[in-house]
Amino acid sequence: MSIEHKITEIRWHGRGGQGAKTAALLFAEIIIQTGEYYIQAFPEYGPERMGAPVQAFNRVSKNIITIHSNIINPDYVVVLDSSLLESNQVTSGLKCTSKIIINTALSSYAVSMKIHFNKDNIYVVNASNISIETVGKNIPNAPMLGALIKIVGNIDLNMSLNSVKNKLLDKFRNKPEVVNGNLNAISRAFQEVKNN
Amino acid sequence: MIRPLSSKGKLVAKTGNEIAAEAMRQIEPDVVAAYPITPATEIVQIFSQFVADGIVKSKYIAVESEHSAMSATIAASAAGVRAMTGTSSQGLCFMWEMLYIASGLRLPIVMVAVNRAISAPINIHCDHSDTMGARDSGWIQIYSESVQEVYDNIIQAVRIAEQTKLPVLVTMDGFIISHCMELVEVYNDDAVKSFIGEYTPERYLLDIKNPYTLGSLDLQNYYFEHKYQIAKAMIDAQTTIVNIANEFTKCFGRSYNLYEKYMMDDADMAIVIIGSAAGTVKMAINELRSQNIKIGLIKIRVYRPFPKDNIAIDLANIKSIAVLDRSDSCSGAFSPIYSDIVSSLYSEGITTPKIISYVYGLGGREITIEHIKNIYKTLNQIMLGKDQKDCSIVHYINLRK
Repeated sequence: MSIEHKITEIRWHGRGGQGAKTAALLFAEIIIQTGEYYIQAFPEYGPERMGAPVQAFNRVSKNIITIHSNIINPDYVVVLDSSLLESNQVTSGLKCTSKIIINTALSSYAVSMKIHFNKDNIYVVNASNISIETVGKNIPNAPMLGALIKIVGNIDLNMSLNSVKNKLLDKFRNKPEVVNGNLNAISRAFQEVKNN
Repeated sequence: MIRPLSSKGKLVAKTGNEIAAEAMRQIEPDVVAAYPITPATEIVQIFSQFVADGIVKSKYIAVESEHSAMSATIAASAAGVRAMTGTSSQGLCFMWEMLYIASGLRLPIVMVAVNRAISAPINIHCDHSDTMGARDSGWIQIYSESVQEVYDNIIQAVRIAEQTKLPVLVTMDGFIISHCMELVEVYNDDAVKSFIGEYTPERYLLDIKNPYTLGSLDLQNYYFEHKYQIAKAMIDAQTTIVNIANEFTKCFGRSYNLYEKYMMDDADMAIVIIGSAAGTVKMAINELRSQNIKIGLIKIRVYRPFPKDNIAIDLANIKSIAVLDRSDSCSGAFSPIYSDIVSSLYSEGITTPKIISYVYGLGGREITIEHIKNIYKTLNQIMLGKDQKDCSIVHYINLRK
């Protein structure tokens, strides 16, 4: 993983029901498989309603993480729902080196015009489409997890898939058929996320 | 490579609630009676799944309220078995009268409390008003900074409760820890079971060969003596807690004490705090120390019994001290930790440190490294004797007035 700072911080934006919190938890579990990093994963809790904007967070560090306050200046921002680009929350606190990964059919260039952020640091993937084709419905958290793994870099895809598989088999023990779809979604987004 | 401290340990990622349920699975109390409440719901949700799946042999009693949860836990403990529960905020408030019965009957109950603000106005986020309100109820109170500490504290709590015959409350900060996934070292089941041992109560109600009376009327003649015994047990508990912590360190590697000293050896200034914000303070102190600023932290782990003697000694030579409370007593005077710190020092004849009181984080209000750095600036001014901030009133962090 390319860790430029002492603690790498990630902010997830989604809408209630899209699984931003689950994705943050899954990401943390993937990272600990490396045996190299301390992690945190936590949601921002507000009134819980389907469709309301929600955030979740990760911290990753080679050193023990003791801080327990919110993330203000994230290194990575993951946006599960492109309608959230209309609000300024997505770009809040970004550093010029921060990278944004967005679930959209638009190009990085088109998004950069919208949010006024450097095109080179904007990555796009049509996670909703991938999710519909692999899982059968629009739950974009798994593909966005795949995209994040790719952009953060140096995280082994197969190790990630194994980690997620174990977790999902436990979580969906009554409907194991959703597991493979999610794993395919992660793999596809890992391949398809791009900067254009 | 990050490695477990103990040969009996392995590293996993879990939230505070998940690790509390995991500790309870390993402890496998005979009875758990609980009623779910945000943000502690997952603890009983996960544990009741363990029961339903037959993973533990514990009896789970799904009660209709927290009052009944504590009542059933008390009854189970009095009957002679290990009993645990968990709650938060309004749930703890609803247990109120039963809390005193648990300690008054000297029952070794362990309860996990997830700290949350108290209504009204309604708020589900963290502050310490709930457990601070119970600070005089005769329960031992152990606060946790991180997910790891939640786990280690719950395991130790079982031994502490059974040895002191006092109920023990282990806390974690609502959402900040209860819903935060962190890297945590868990120990294997056998090691945990062997550490806590079998529970063999000295006396119990279902021991029909040795019947005894529990909870009888106790008027002017003896009530006072019985209450004194609780106060005495609380003082004696300090030694027990330290001994069990030392044994824990031998078994599993992690060190615990009544409170933790961080960068205190040569400190001129100190912050005293409790709970998860201690970790944020540590990070702020790391930054300040890199600028050769001599500031340290005292993180209180065991709040009841309050480690007054040792803390007074450790703070005696500090020039300026900020005590940060995550609850407001609304007393017209000061909040709980500040009052305990000041009386600890004064009773030892230590009156030189200047001590300033802060209240922060009510209802989940954010506290950041920047806030801590501002406190340092104030401490420095106070230490230098210029631009004194009024130490005779409570100051509020990150509050709109």
